[in-house]
This record gives sequence, C-alpha cells and structure tokens, in this order.
Amino acid sequence: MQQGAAGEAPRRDDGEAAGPSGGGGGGGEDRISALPDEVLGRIVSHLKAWQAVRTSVLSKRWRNVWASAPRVDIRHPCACDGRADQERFHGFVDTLLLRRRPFAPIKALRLSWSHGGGANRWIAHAVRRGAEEIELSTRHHQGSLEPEPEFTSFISPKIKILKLTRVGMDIRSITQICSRCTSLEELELEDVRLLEGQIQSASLKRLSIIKCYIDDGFLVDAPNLVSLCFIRPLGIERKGGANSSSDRLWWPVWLNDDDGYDHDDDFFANASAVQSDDKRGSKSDQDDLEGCNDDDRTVAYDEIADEYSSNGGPGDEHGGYSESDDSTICGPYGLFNVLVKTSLIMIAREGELLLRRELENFPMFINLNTLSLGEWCMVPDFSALSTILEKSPNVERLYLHLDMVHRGRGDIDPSGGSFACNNLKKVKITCCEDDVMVHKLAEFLEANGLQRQRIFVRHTSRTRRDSRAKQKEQEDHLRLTKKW
Amino acid sequence: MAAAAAEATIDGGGKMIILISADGKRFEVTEAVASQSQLISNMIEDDCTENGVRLPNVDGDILTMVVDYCNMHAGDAAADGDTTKASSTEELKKFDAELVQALENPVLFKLILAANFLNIKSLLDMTCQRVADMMSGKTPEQMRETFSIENDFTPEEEAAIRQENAWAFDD
Repeated sequence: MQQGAAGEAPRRDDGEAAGPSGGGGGGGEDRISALPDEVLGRIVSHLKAWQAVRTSVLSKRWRNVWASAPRVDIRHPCACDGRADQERFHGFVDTLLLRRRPFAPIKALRLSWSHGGGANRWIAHAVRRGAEEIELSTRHHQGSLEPEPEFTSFISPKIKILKLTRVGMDIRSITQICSRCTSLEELELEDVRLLEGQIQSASLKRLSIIKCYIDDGFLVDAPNLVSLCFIRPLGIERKGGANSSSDRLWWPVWLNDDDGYDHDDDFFANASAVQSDDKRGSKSDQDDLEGCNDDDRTVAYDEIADEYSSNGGPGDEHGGYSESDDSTICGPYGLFNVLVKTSLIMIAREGELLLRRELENFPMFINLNTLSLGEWCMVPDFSALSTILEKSPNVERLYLHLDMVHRGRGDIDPSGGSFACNNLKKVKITCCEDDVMVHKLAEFLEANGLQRQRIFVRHTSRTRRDSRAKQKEQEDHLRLTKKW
Repeated sequence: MAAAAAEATIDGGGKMIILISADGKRFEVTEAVASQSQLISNMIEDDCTENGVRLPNVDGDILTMVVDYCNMHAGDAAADGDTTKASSTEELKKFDAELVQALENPVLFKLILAANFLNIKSLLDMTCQRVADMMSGKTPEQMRETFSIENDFTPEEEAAIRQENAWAFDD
C-alpha cells in the first residue's frame, strides 16, 4: 500500500525542471493533495484540533482528512483564565469527537484541564479508541482546587506514554495507573503532590519527576528503567514527626535484576523534538528544565571555559553571585531570609537534605543510561552527585540543571567523591548565563576522568538578574498553592 | 548467512548495504544506518538485501537527503557498537532544522513520500511537522494559496461544509 502511494511522487514530478520556481510552492501544482491519506492525516495531526477541522473546506480531497487524524490536540486555556469560553469549548470537543470517522483510532491525545468533567470523558473516549499517549495539563487552571481526573479513565493495556502536569490525583490513582497500564513505558509527573508509598511498573522505561512533592519513604520499583529525570524535588512538612520512620529509604529505589538494556533512544531529545514548539509557548517557566531545547544556545564547554579563565579565573567567581542587592536570592544569609519569607522553600530544602542523607543506601542502577538531575544533588557540594553516578555505571548521557534562578544558594564546595562512569558519552549542563558554578562542575567532572569535549553547556535565556521578577512570581505562586 | 558481493564489511563490524535509487544511483550505507528505515530493517531481517535494495519510488537527489539524514541520526537508534562518533544532539537539531527549512515545497513533499515509503518515523514526523507549521495560523484561503490547492467545491458546497462545521469556524 505504501509502495503504491509513494509511487505517485516521482511520476508527478519527473517531467519537471529540477530548479524550483515560485518559492514556497505558490502558483505551482497542488502537490500536497497528492500525498497519501495516511500522510495527510499525519500532517493534520500536528495542528491544533480547531485548525485541523478547518482544513475540511480546502477541497474535496481534504473534506474528511481531519476526521481520522490519529492525534488529537485540544489544549485550550482554562475557563478561570477569563478569556476562554468554556461552554463553547466543551461543545466543540464533544462535537469533534462525535464527528470523527467512527472507530478511527486515536493514538495520542493532548489536552488541558477543562471545568465540568469533560476531560474525564474525553480521556475515556481516547482510551477506547486505542490511545497510546495521553498528555493532561492543568497548568492554566488558576482555581483553588487542583482538578482530580479519574484514574479509571486512563487504565488501558495500550497506554505507553502518560504525562500529567499539576493534576490533583492522589498517589493511589497513580499507583493504580502504573500497575494496571501494563504497557506504560514513559511517565512524566510534573508539579504533582504528593508522591508517597510505592509505585511499581515492570514496563516503565522512562520516568520524569519534576517539581513534585515527595514524601518520606516514596519508592519506585521499575526494574526496566533506562532513563530518569529527577529535578527540583520538594519535601513535605511533617507534623511532629510521628510519621517518619527512619528505617525506610527516603530515596526512590530501583530494583535492578536485569541489565540488558535496549531501546536506547534519547528520550529528552525525542520529547523536545516533538513538543518543543508547544511547550515553549505554554511553559516558558519550564524553559530551563528541558534538557535539549533551543540548541542555538548550546555550546561546547571548551568555548566558555576560555572565556572564563580570561575573565579572571576561579578566584573571582564569587563576584558572580555573592554581591547582590537582593538578599532573598543568594548567599548564606540571603538564604535565611528566604526561609523566613516562604516556609515552603525551606521545606523543599529539608526534603533535599533528607534525600542526600539516604543516598548511601542507594541500590545500583544498572540499566540506567540517561540521567537528568537538578541542583539538589550539587549543593552545597558534589558528593550526592558523585554517589549517584558511582551507582549508575552505565549512564551514557547526563543532563544537569543548575537552578540558580529558582533558589538560594550558598557557597559551593567543589568537592565530592570519585566515580567512574566509563560509558559517559555526553554531559550537558543547563544554567543561566552568569552562573559560574558550571566551571566548578566541569572541573569536578574532568577530575573524574571525563574528557572536556564531552561537556556541553546550554544557557537559558535568562540571567539571574532577569529572573528576579520571575522568582518573586514563583514564590507568590508557591505561597498561593501552599494554602491548599 | 547470505554473504554476497554487495555486503562488504567495514572495520566497525557493520555490514554494508547498497541502496539503489529510481534513477540508478547507488548509495553504500551500514546496516545500522539503513535500519532506521523500517522497510529496509525488515528486508535485512529477511535476508534479502544482498543484491542491493532497489527503491523505484525514490529519486537520487531525494535519496541523497535521506541517506544524509540517516547517517546523521545513526547514533540515535543504535544502542550497540561504535556510537562514540554519533553526532551530538545539538548538531542533529541544527542539521534537521536546516534540512527542512531550506526545502522548496515540491522537494519537501518528495522527501515526505520517501520517508513514508521507507518508513522512517522520525523523518516523517519532522517533515509533516514542517508542513503543519506552514498551515498553522492560516485561513483556508491562505492555506490554499500556500500549497496551490485548487478549491473544487462549488460556492454552495463550500458554504454547506462551513455550515456543517460551523462549530470549528466561528472565531
């Protein structure tokens, strides 16, 4: 079938001069409509749903293309935004799903939370149509309560990829999803609270936990994991400590009984290749969390290393961030202010401390080949980082996210244990432009035998100065959400 | 098993495969590079690549692009063997962006067809995304203009469809 379809191209175009004229295809032949149905469906799948439906009016060829497009993107601003007309939106999605070709499979569904329970219905619909990938975000929801989609909507043996952002689902639901979606390979949890207890999945290969609240003793049992992203963990306040059981591991534990890893695709690269555009629009805050976006700003470490030494070497580096008029951001005393101002940030750091304390009890991560870590394991020294690396001997790609803009940071002690990651092919450090910690980190990695040409640095768009306003905004947000 | 003339072996240990375009151009690539095409990967599994793989649907200039693409991305997929010279993600993205940005529509569509025929998912996704980007934010009229799509509806028919899909048209 493919063969026949593909055969159209050379025939159509053979007779023509190779020299393209008329730029962009304007004024030429209608070649796009000659593409096979399946390809048109794919193209339309990359459009937002309303745009996709509008292609129906282009010509007879396009009349029903949208109705069997395999991916449905119905992300939409939340009603609490004020600009969005929720009723119309609900009507739109219901009609859309109703008017699709009956039984046309839906491979992927991307949606934002919408008031009134529509999301549950739509997810269930997509799951019945064989969905393998579901992305649900409530990022734009500003209301007090976080929506709690029903986990039962998600349960399907076909689901492979699940991304949940700021959903109010409790851990029991996530546990259920993990154990009952038997094909689940990729799970991304962002801004989800509270992760506790245990999640278990034999199929899980890629796990991202970003800005999640994590409880003492949280355990992940995923023997086939090959890629882990763990950034900005947040601890949770304990009342009294009656609940803390010291004999349990705080850190998520992976039980590795199988070291034949496979499917070595670069999750971060793939994810960003597919979604970077959308994410950039809606998740500007996430700019610095995504390992590989925006590669215009990525340079080999070599290039900036020279710059650094010519600007006055390690002796001067504190100038970079201890001289600040904003005491809430940096320096040991500045940090204290942060603690007083927003207790939540302090709690976050307590969580990190706990995490560091338990690192020694880590199991080995034999399968892991991609690791993405936040600053929590590099402050105040690099011992946590080196411990993790020591226990992950097969890591090939390491992404480190320095987070100066989001947190206070005292002096960094560039010491840490030694590790031998002989398989490490590439280290990419993401940081803001004026962060000199990157040099200490590079020194540390080089001291452990990593060649300099394997280190890359990606600068985020913001310098620390730019981001003060952002920082404030975030604190406000945290304070706001903390109430709930 | 089928050790034949076309299957040279290079020092990396990977077998070489010969791809032959519609206009008879020959491309020698490693198995790892060629396997990014699901079609060829299946042929390798079935052991029917020894006399070269003829691709009657793909012109030489398009196949050049496809082979370039696969060479650049060989490191992505290959979990084993010599991946040290696999291109870095940055280079790849730059390469990909330049590849699709520069293409005139007719060439872009040929590349899509080749990717579809050879079943190279990442290349197909990337090229379809590029077309979608060109459609995004445009009115139907503007889309028609961009792609020279001839409106073969009568005004009445078009009005009827707009009516039928009014739920997606009102702004």
